[in-house]
Parts: sequence; structure tokens; C-alpha cells
Amino acid sequence: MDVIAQMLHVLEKTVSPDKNELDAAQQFLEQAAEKNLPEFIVTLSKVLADPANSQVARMAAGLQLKNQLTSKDPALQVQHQQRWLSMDMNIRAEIKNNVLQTLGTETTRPSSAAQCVAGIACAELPHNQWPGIIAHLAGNVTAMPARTEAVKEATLEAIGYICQDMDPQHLQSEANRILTAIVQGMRKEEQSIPVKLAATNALLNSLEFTKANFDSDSERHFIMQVVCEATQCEEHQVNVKVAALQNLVKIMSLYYQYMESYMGPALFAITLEAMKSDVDEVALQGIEFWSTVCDEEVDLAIEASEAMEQGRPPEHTSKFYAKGALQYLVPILMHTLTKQEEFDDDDDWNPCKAAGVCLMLLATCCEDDVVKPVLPFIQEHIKSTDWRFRDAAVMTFGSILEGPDPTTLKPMVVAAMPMLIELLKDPSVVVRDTTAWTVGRVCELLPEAAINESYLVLLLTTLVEGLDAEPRVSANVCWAFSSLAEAAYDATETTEDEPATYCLSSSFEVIVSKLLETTDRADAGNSNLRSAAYEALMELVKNSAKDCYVIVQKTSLIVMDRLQRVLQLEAAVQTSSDRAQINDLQSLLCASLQACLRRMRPEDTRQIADRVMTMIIEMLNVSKGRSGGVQEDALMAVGTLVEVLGTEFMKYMEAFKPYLALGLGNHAEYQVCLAAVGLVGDICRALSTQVAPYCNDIMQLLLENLANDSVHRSVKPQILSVFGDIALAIGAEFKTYLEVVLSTLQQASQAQVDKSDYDMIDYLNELREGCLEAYTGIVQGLKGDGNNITDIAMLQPHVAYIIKFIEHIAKDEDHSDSNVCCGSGLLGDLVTAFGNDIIPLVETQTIQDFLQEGRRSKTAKTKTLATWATKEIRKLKSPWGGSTSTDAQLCRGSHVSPFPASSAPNGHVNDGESAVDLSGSA
Amino acid sequence: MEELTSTLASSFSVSNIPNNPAAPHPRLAQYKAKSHDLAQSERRRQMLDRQKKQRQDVANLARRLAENDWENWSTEEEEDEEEMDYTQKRPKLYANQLMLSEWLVDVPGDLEEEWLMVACPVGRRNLLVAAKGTTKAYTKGGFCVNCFPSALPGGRKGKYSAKEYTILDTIFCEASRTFYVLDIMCWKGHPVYDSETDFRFYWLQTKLQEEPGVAEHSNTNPFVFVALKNTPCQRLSIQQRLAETFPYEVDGLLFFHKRTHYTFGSSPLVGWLKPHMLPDILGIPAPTITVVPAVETSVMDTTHENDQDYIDTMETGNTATKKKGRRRRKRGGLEKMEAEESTEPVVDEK
Repeated sequence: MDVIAQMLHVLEKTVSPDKNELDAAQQFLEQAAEKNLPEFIVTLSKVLADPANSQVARMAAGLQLKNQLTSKDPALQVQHQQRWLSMDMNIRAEIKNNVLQTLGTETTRPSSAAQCVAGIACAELPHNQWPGIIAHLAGNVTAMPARTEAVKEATLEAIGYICQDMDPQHLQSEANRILTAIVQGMRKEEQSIPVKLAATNALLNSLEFTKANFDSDSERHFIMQVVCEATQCEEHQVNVKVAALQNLVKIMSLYYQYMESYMGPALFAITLEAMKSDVDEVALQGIEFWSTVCDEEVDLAIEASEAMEQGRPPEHTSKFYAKGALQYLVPILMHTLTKQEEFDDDDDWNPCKAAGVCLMLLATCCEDDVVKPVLPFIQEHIKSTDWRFRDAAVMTFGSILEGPDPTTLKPMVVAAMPMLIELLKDPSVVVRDTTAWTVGRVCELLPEAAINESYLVLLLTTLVEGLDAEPRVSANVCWAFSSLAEAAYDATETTEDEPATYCLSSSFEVIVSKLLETTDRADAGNSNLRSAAYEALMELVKNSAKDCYVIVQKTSLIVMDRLQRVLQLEAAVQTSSDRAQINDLQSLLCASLQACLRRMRPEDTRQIADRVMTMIIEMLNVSKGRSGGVQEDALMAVGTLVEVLGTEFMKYMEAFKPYLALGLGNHAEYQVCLAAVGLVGDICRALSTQVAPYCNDIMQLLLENLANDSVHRSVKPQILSVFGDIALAIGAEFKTYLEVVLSTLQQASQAQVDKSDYDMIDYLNELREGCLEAYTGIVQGLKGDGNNITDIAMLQPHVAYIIKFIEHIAKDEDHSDSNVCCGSGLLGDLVTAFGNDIIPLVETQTIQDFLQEGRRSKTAKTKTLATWATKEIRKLKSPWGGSTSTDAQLCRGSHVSPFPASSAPNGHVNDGESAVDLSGSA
Repeated sequence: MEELTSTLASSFSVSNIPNNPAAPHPRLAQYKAKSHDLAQSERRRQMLDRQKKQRQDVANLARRLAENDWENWSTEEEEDEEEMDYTQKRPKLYANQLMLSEWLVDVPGDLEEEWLMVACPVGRRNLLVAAKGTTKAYTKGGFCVNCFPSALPGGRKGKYSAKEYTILDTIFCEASRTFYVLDIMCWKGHPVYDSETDFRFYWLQTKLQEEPGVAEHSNTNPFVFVALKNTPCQRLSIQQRLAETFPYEVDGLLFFHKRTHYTFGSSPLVGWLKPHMLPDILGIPAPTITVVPAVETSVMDTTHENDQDYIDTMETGNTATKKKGRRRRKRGGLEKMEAEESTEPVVDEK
């Protein structure tokens, strides 16, 4: 008994306000656990079980016990469970007994014992131990004469925790028992509210594995009846009501196909009433129900159109509940929109926000039908004297902009825009925020309406003023500018590379300078304003007409100046939050710089290239070993410079190469590594053969990366692709690395993954594509212009394997269209390189089917490459053979216009020229 | 659905508190949602996509060099040569709008009754679109190579309404600055894609004849439009036709099935032969084709200042050599004398 007394004492100290006592207690417990875990746990269970002990002690005991069995870290959890299972059976039995007995004797909620029971059950049931537990628990609930309320409540809690934490497959056999107990606790005859609540919550967690019960009509009817009745409890039972509604929401998403018989008679009325409730939690559930219905029906619509494309009936069909209920739902939702919180915290969720989301989903789901019910409300209240109603009207308008046919919406939007522009200056900040968001939506979804001449100038002026507003409003304005830029650019119909001018040209300078101002605001850290402003700037630069060029140039200089200043600040930074801000800023500035560089004319870029490169190298220096984000941005900026400068980048290679090496060697921060790998590819394409002297070091680093298992898997496919880039760039000199790369590719091409995981399937396809791109680069690189037969011959022994690899991909039904594209290209390359020798290898049914799939692809690139590869194979097979065949090849009726190219018969001199389009001579 | 289920599972914890305030609500992200095209993750993805595209473009370039078949690649080639600017937007509205032939290897049994022959000049195949006051010439790939006024309906400002547009299938001969019209798809706003070839050919001949100004070079019609003659395919007719004098160098012979509509891409109902193939394929003796090209007349004095104007308009996208002066042609009943005409001798063609 001494042990118990001691434990009691210690446990009570675990809530002591005195830190020393607290620490001492913790230490004691840790040591006790280490010294003799089984004994420790037994003692805890005894403390827990004894009603004579204090509340505090019992709760603490329960908590300690639970922590020995469970953990938030899944790996640790498995450890804990295995440790439990290794304990002596008798000891475990004693503990289990104590814990079970506790159920119903506790005076606190939630029940600690329930959590412990669940913890033990989750450890033992998967190994078929403690098989009677579910029956025992169920018995507690269903026994006649009835056990006490407290017992039933605690038991149902335990059942709930078990359903929540256990893998459903282990509970399937017990589904009936569990369900019976739960339903017993939920039925309307049950007087005790806590019991009802515990049962209803438990049901929520059991819905996944009680599928068989839902499949049975009679059982399902019964369950639905009980749930619906539970939604009808009175005022003081509101928690039960909410829990019951939660159940309906989940049932809707899991068992949509079965809801037809309940929707009309019950669900419709229940949920509509819930939506109108004054109790927030109830209203939230009612709204969530219909949001869920919309989600389901949108998915079903997608499934239906996919099925139609493939010429088969869909597996499941929509019952169009949303459309049916639309006219009733919309008024309630719009009314709920007028219940805004006065002081809204961004993270809070409330019925007003939920209604906004639900309206949006209804618009996507019901499309054109949503317009008519909302128009009267909008028209009536958009000029209301009450800000709540104005805001609700604008929110409604903004919510329906996606879903209905744009041609239907456009006239409405054009008519409403002047009003919206006015509301951007509304006295209420809430209204301004919503209006700015709505304008942004218009710019994104109905660009033509946004740039309408009649009000564009006014819109731009008002938006520019709006940049000065509160951060939440200003951020939305920035987003509006982003979409506007794209809309304005797309509206120009030009056959040249860039339009000479566009509708933003006259305001371009003002907007850009205002955005730059906005990024400098002291409060730009709120509502993500700074990012929004820089992003808007980037979009404007990206989508600028020729006559805005001077401003673009100026902007790049400003961005560079700022970057310079930030780099100086970096040295002085102390706190980690400051550092985070500086890094974010660097990131945004780098991205802006990239946007500018892309837009500038090459001759102008050349002039600032030195300065840019110096700055980037400084950035890389300063962030060495510290901020991976900055390193990544810097490398991406170099990538842009490489693209723009082409071979001229050569002059920076010496100075830059150590930083490239650093990036490639950064195994820990894989995004940096990825950026560096991609950069290698860009450099290869730009420098071509000139990259040769650097290849040894680069190849070594890349191979090291591949050999290192701790590097994130997403880097691997990129490295493989880059091998191809290098091979193509240095041509014959790649021979040095050929053997090691080929053996690496061989390994990579044999990778296998768990096919039940979609992510892994995607990864496998990426990996294979990396291999295909590598092989392609190697084949093309070694082949060169066809003069060095010995080089390409080095690849000959491997060709059979490569084609087998392609067949392997072809046979995998999960391969991607991109795989087919690359594979087809590679086949064509192999055939043109090795000629007749390999024809037998590509004449297999698998390859033929593969190419056919490519030719039928909906993607133009895939189709083109597959057709080309097929042609190449066909050419070789014709009796006249070789690519120099003339009449015969053409006379086979292949698709040739009256003006064939250089393969025209009789070498008609002008034929080739006459077929060449003038476009080609650009 | 799995996502929703797990989201629900995470938000509805088994406790007495319905909405766990600890975690942000899963639907919160949907409230006043904004697209973020340029967020960091997006920029990464775009970078990777761009690199992948460039890699593929380089690979495809290498393949084209070996193949040397420019036709199929015209669209891709244009994409290559555009700047590596990911904002490229250029709809290829006019690509693949021409009906192309196949070699006439299997001689159709009804050749003499159901087919028509057209002798084609050496030149560039162009799709001609005259609309909204301007006339544009497009390649097969849909790339606009020229833009100028013309006397075709819709091809000149002010003359016709927006609905009166004209689309022709032509072969452009640089030397004579003539568009030889092979086929007609739309005239003054009336499309004839779905009309049979013999009707379209009849219409082509009539409409072009009736339209004033199309057969003469002028300020407002810098290029001349001439309908190509078509003949029936009886042996004798073919021989007779080929014995005539041509104002252009004959590239080959097109054979059209009378009943075919105007379809896009290559069609088995349009056949192509070189003149020297006639003996083998059709058993017709090889013709000797006489070509008498229209001679360039000297410059017309009164119109010097106008020359530069339409030479300038012709320069857009056109790498043709500059020519001073103009020529005039007389065609059938088309002699509309323009104000600037002078008394230069004109060469007669048959």
C-alpha cells in the first residue's frame, strides 16, 4: 500500500503550480516507468480504479497510463503497442480488469478510463487478443436491467475512441455488436443526455466500417431513423443535436447513393431547419450538409462526363438534390450572410463564412440555375443603408461568378461593375474587403467584363486608391491587379510576339509605382499584403505590352536596388522572426527579378547581367548553410539569367561553379538541390559543348546524390533527366560516363512501388520518364550529326534492354501520357540511329500498341511524336529502305501535300523551297 | 471523397466539443479563396515545367534535322522560335484549313466521268482570307505571311460590310505577284465548304470574273487573282490542255473528284501527279509544256509615289525581292480601266 500512497502523492503534484514540485513529480514518474514498467502501470491502474482516490489523482493516473500506450507520433505508437504486448499476460489482465472496472465510477469528463481501454484495445485487438472486449462493452450498454448512466456513458465513450483510432478492418467482424450498442444509447427513449451524446459521437466514428449495415435496407432504415430522431431533441440537448447533424453530414458523403428515400421525408426538412437555427454550431452543420451535397454532386458530374467520353455508363449518378433544394437554400444562405461578426479573426469559422462557401459550391454545382434566385436579393440590398446587407449582397454576387455560363453572367457583371467600383470606397471596411475580393473574382473569371472600356479607367483609378486601404482590402486589390494584367494581355489579338500596346498601357506606370509603394508599407506583413503586392507586380511585368518596356526596365533596377539593400540588412539581422521576414522578402524580390529578366530585351539584360550575377553570388554567400529558401531562389534566378544569356553565360561559370557545387551537394535541403539540378540542365542547353570542362565535377556530385538514400526521392527523376541534358550537350565526350550512367539507369528502370498509393504511382512514372529522357539525350548526343558511327555503336549492346524497358512501361496500365510521349520519341531516335538492325525489336505487339496509343493521344505532342516514330519505322521497312526513298515511299499514299519537301522525285529544284513556309525563315 | 472523409474525421473528434477550435476549419481555405499563380510552390512547378518543355523542344529539333520533313512540324517549329516566354498565346486559327492531296497511285475507275484536272503553278500554297477590310495570306500551318488590301469581297476597307468575307485556296507566284486560285471556300460571306467540287469550280470561275478589279494590279489591289482552269479527265481533254501555253511554270497536276466537298487535311479524293508520270500512271504520252511567262512591263510614271506605299505593305513578313513598277494584265472580260492607267503595251496571254 505504500507504493500506492506514494503514487497518489506524486500524481497529485503533477498539477502543482510550483514548478519544482512539478519537475520532481515528473522525474519520479519517469524513473518509475524506467525501473519497472509493468509494475508502474499496474499501480497506475489501481489508482485509477479506486473511487476513494481524489479526482486529480485518478485523472493523472489515467493520463499517465494512456501515454504509455499511445502517442501522436505513429512510429512511437507502434513501439508503445509492441512494448505492451511483450508484457506478461497476467499483469496485463490485471490492468485491463482495473481499467474496465473504472468505467462509470469517475466523476470527471471525459473519462480517462475510456481512453485507456481504447489504448489497450487498439494494441491487442489487431493481434486477436482481448477478443471479448467489444462484447463486454456492448453488454454494458445493452444489459437488462440497465447498468448505470455513468457506466453506459463511459462505455460508449470507450467504444467511440476505439472506432476512431482502430484500423477499420479489425472492427468489421464486430460491426453489428458495436452498432447495436450505439443505437441503443442513441434512441429517443434514452433519457440521459450524456449517454446519448457519447453514443452519437461514437456513431460518427463507426460510419466507415459499418458499410455492410448500411447496405442492408432494414438496418439502414433503422439507423437513419435513430439519427434523424436525435436531431429533433429539445433545447437543452443541443450538443446531441449537433452530433446527430454531424452524423448526417458524414453519412451524406459516405453513402450518397442510399439517401434518396430519406431526403424528401426527413433530411431536407431537418437540415433546412438547422440552417435557420440561432445556435451557431447547429447552423454550421446544416450548411455543411449542403456543402457536402454539392461536393458529391460535382464529383458525380465529372464522373458522368468522363464516362461519356469513354462511351460507357457511369458507376454512380447524381440525384441533383442541390438543384432541387436550390430555391429554398439560397434565401436562407443569403440571410445568413448578413450575420457577420463585428470583429472577425481570420481563423474563425462561423455561419456567415460557411454560407459564403456554400453559395460558391452551389454555383459550381447548379451552374445557371443559381442566378435567378439570387438576383432579387442583390438588387434589393446592394444599396442598403445597413452595411451588413450591402456586404451580403456583394458577397452573394462574388460567390456566383464561377459555375454559371460566362456568357449569361457577362451582361450582368458589366451592368454591375460601376456599382462595385463605387463600393470599393464604401465606409465599411468589411464591404470594401468583400468588394475588392469580388472585383478580383471578376478579373479572374470574366476577364472581358473586367476590361470593358466604359469603366476601365475608373476601375483602375479606384483600385490604385484601394491599395492604400487596410491590408485585408489592399491584398484583395493586389490580387485583382494580378488577374487584370493577364486579362488585358490576353485580350490583345496580335500575330507578333508581343502586342505593341494594351488597355493597361496608360496606367501601367502608376500601377507599378503604387504596388512598389505598397510592398514598402509598414503593415505589409498583415494579410499577406507584401506577397500579394509583389505577385501583382510580377504578373504585370509578365503581361506587359511593348510600350511599357521602359517601366519594366526601371522596375528591374528598383528590384535590384532593393535586393542589394536587403542583402546589407541580412548581416545585421538578430532575431529568427526578423530573419524569416528578410528571407521572405529576398524570395519575393528574387522572383520579381526573374520576371523582369524574362521580359527584358537580351541586349538590355546583357548590360545588367554582371550586376545581377554579383548580387546573386553575394546572396548565395550570405545564406550559405542557413536559409535554404534563399539559396533556392538565387539558383532559380541564375536559371533565368542562363536562359536569357545563352552562351554568354560562359563568362560567369568559373565564379559560379562553386555555388553550383554547393547546391548540388545540399542533400539536406532537397528544394535547393532540385533547383541546382535543374540549373545544370539549363546550363547545358545554353552552353552546349562549352560545358564540357565542368562535367567531371558535376557528374560526380550527381552520382553521389543518387547513391545517397537520404536525399528526397523527388530529386532522383530530375537527375536522370539532366544526364540526358549533359549527354546532348557534350556529345561524344559523354563516353567517359556512359557505363556508369547506363548501369544507374538500369537500376532506376527496375524500380517498383506500392501500386495502391496514387502518389507512388505518380512517382514511378516520373522516375521512368527521367530514364527515358536520359536515354534520349544519350542516343541523340552520341549520334550527333550521324558522322561518328563508332560512338553510337557503343550503345548498341544496350539497345535491346532499352526497348524492353519501354515495353515494360507500355504494359503498365498506370503509365502516363507523358511516358508515351517520351517513349515514342526515344523509339524514333533509336530507329533512326540504328536502322534496320533493330526493326525486329520494335515490331512486337507491345510496341505497336504503345505507338498506337500515342497516335491516338489527345495531347498534340504525344500524337506528333508517336506518328513520327511510326513513320520512321515504316520507312525502314519499305523495300526501298532508308530515308532517301522518293517516289516509292511517297507513292505509298502517305500524307503528302502537292508540295513535298526535298524528297521530291526528280529533284525538282523548287519543290523544297516552295514548301517551306516563310515563317521558318524568321 | 476519401479526402472529405478524413477531413471530417479529423474535425469531428470524439469529445463534447463539436467543432474542435484547435485546428482551423477545413473549409476555411475555401472562404474568399484566391488563386495564387505565383506562390512559391507554383513558381517551382512552373520552373520544372519550363525546363521539361525546353528539353523536349531541343530533342524534337534534333529529330527534325534528320527527318527534314517540314510539313508536320510547322506548328512546333514556330513554338520553338518564339521566345522562351511562358506568356505565349497565339491561337492557330488558320492552321490546317487547306485540302491536301495524295499521290494518284490507284487510278480511279471513274476518272474520265467523275474527275476534274487542274494544272498547278510552281509557287507557295496560301490560304487567303479577305475579311473586315484586309486580306491576309496564311501558310498551311496558320502563320500569317502577308497582309494587304485587295479587290476581293471583304478585302478592302470601306467597300464591304463585316459579314462579306472571302476565303480562297491559292498558290502564290512571286514572279508575277499573282495568286492563282485553286479552290473557293467562301465568297462574300457565303461558305461553300459543303458544296461539291464541280459547283465550287463553277462558282470560282464566275465570281472571280464578275468581281471588278481582282485581275489587275493597282494601289488597292497589289496582287492579282486568277482562277485556275479545270478540265475534264478524258485522255484527249488532258492532252489538249497540256498542249496549251501556260503563263506559269507547271509544278504538277491535281485531280479532283467532282463530288467531294472541301475537307481539311489530306484527302483521297484529291490526287496529284507530276507531268512526267502521265505515261506510267494514265497511259498518256508525256506532254511538252510550253511556258510563256507574263513579261514585266516597265514602270508607270504617274504612280511613282504610290509604288513605295504598296511595296511597303507587301514587305510585311514577305521576303520577296523588291520590285519597282507594276504590271497589268488583261483577263477575259475584266478590263476595268483604272485612273492611273497609261498606254503601256500589255502582253496577251491565252
